[in-house]
Amino acid sequence: MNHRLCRSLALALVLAPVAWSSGKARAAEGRVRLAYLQNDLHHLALWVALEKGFFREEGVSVDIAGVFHTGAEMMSAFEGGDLDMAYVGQAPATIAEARGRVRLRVVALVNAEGSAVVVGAGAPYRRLGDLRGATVAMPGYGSVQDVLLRKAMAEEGLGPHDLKVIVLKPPEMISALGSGDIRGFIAWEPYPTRARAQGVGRILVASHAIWAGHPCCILVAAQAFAEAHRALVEAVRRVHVRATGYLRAHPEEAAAVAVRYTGMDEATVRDAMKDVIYADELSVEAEREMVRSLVEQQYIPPVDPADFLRRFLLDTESLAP
Amino acid sequence: MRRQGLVLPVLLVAAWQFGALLAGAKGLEVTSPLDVLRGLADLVKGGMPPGHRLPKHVLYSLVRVFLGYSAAIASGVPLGLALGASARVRAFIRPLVDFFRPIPPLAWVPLAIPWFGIGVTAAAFIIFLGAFFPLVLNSAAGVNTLDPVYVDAARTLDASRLQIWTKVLVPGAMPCILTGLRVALGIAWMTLVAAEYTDVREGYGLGYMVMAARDLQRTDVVLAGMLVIGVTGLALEVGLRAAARRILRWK
Amino acid sequence: MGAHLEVCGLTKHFGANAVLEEVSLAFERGAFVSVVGVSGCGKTTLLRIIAGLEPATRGVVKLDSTVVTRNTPRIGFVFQEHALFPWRTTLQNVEIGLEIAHVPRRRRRRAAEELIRTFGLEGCEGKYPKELSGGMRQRVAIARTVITEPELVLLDEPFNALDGRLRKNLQCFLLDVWASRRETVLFVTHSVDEALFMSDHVVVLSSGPARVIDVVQVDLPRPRIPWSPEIGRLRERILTQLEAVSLATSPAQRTSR
Repeated sequence: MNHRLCRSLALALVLAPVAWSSGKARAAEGRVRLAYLQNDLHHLALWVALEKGFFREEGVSVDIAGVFHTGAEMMSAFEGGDLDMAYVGQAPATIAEARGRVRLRVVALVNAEGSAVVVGAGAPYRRLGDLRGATVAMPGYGSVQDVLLRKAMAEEGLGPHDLKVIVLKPPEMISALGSGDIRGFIAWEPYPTRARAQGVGRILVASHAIWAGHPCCILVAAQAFAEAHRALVEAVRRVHVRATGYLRAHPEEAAAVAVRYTGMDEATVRDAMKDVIYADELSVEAEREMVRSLVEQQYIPPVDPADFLRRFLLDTESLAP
Repeated sequence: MRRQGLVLPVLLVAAWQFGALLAGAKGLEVTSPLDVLRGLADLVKGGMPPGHRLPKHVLYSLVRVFLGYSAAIASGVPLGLALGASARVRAFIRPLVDFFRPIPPLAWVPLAIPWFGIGVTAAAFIIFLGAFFPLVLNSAAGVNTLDPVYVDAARTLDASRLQIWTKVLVPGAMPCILTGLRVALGIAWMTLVAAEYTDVREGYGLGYMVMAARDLQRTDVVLAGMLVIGVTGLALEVGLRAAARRILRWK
Repeated sequence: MGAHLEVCGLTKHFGANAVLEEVSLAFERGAFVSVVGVSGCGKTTLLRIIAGLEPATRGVVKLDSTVVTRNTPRIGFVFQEHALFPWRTTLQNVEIGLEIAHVPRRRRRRAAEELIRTFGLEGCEGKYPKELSGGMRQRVAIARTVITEPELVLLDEPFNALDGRLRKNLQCFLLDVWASRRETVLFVTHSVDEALFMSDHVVVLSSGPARVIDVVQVDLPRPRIPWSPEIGRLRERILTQLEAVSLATSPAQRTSR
């Protein structure tokens, strides 16, 4: 009995590196290692595509290679070569690209807007400026929400130190707001709607009011993967476009899918979806503005937005001659 | 001996710098030792997150460690001594200790936040958990491994129970207690950095700083931050070791 | 009768193992008494019971007709491995008995310093036990014990780790200390020569379990000459008795037990 156990262990040890290295060869068989963010309602198109089998119909095999808490974590996975494509926030991807940590290509837009600044349900604030000196939470440095918050602060005449900005994981923001540890937070849907549904918070400023039509999440591909398997990438883009169209046409069905992926009740999900613009077409002007904001906030070194986007966006890039 | 200890690190750093230069020539982005130094300067001047400068990060981390560590000493050492001295205490308490000890301190974070909020107390609690068990176990060992002849000698000198504790058991167990203090400090410092990755209301702390640098993809600052964390931890350890040498000069 | 130390029918069993059996002794105040016997015969156990470190199964110990059951400042103990507290300096070790008795610092410091001087340990006050030689350590151990002026001093093979000239020096040293203070001394040793050199009475114990075979009076003036015929006769008497004990507990006998 002991002998068999030893042999199986030895076999496993030998095969493990083989299995590991074979993972790198997955793309050859029409497989894509895909990732998305946990509990991020913005990525609904992907969830719909998975549930309705759109990928299969295009002959694409999708491996969900990771469900991440933050975009920055996802960038580390790209850096390590463990991901091919992902649904991720625009800002973390741009920062990672600008800092040379990854080589990515933006394939499509996933959503616009869909975040909000939330304050306590009974709090007397009427605008962001009223929060001067208060502690406000956001999901992470260099996230889209962080960029939005700083934009809003600038518009309200608040300097970078006029708010105590701290990082919290979105699930913790609601309880921190309730306990008074923070006076406000900014997060992606469904968290603002959830705070409202639980009676803990109310929306002070929707991201629409900070920057109308701002890009939020995007679909990216690793540059090496896009070069080697362009057809596959295009197939995924087609699936994404189809799923986006589908969920706009069938919001109740999409809401039911979202319930499964977020664990929240349908009413809250439906409410949250109203604040998200699901679209698949990038606006170059909005993209330029995002790059400009990141430079202004000193999150990326100064760069000409047009030059940068020429490399960063898949479609405006001219591939190998 | 000091000089020999420096040879390898210096060689490694030189090789690293050289490798980074080569990679840079090839168009690859590799963080070099010089980049790390620049990142360090950034931490001091500009701060990470921007505006949050290094000295305050170090201060907050030290305060959190101090609170958690002191609480662990105040509760862990007496408990350990009691465990070592009394079979009855051992019978009641030891199973509880053995049950909780393998749970990593960070696993308590989901409980710590609801219980203590997101301020200093929650982080100090996590650190307390990390430091507590080595202190208990080493203090117990200190009493257990003390030659019983010392207690006999004290008894023949007509010492009361309290006097046996203060004049024999505690000083006699001191070498083990100090070992426990050193181990606990190391664990406390490591736990601190990870505990500070998130839920830090003050916005300051070395772990928080490194996390922000990671989020902004500033690998140079991440490495500089790790360097600071390592050096600070080392300074604490060296300080404790010097204190231990003084206290144990009778050995 | 005025016996200072009385041991009455002292018996000790460790479970089924009988270590001491009906040991009875009586000695006058100020007597120097040695206890000899083969190794492991129970001499140490006897001493520990008298000191109050262990309870007897049967029998009592009396000091000046008062029953003694636990440790008391009237009885001091010098251990085989000196048992000096390693974390205390010489001065701190010597004064600890007074410290335990809550004697104020200045007084006990002075007493300790004087004793250290008397014992020839000047210069060692600030040293830790690890810095002292074996002979010095034992002198410190004796100082630690006598500073509280106990009526009875028990010593458990204190010079075991020493030999030759050093051992001789310490034997003389102990005799000097005793001569000036005149406590009752109970001195355990496995060296018959040592016992004859130092004591007024020598208690010979058998083993397995220990019983008193003989109590030899040594009525000779000190300092004694180890090779004198009187000492020789006494030595032979004791050795013969110990030999008989050995034979009685020979391997054949021992395995049958």
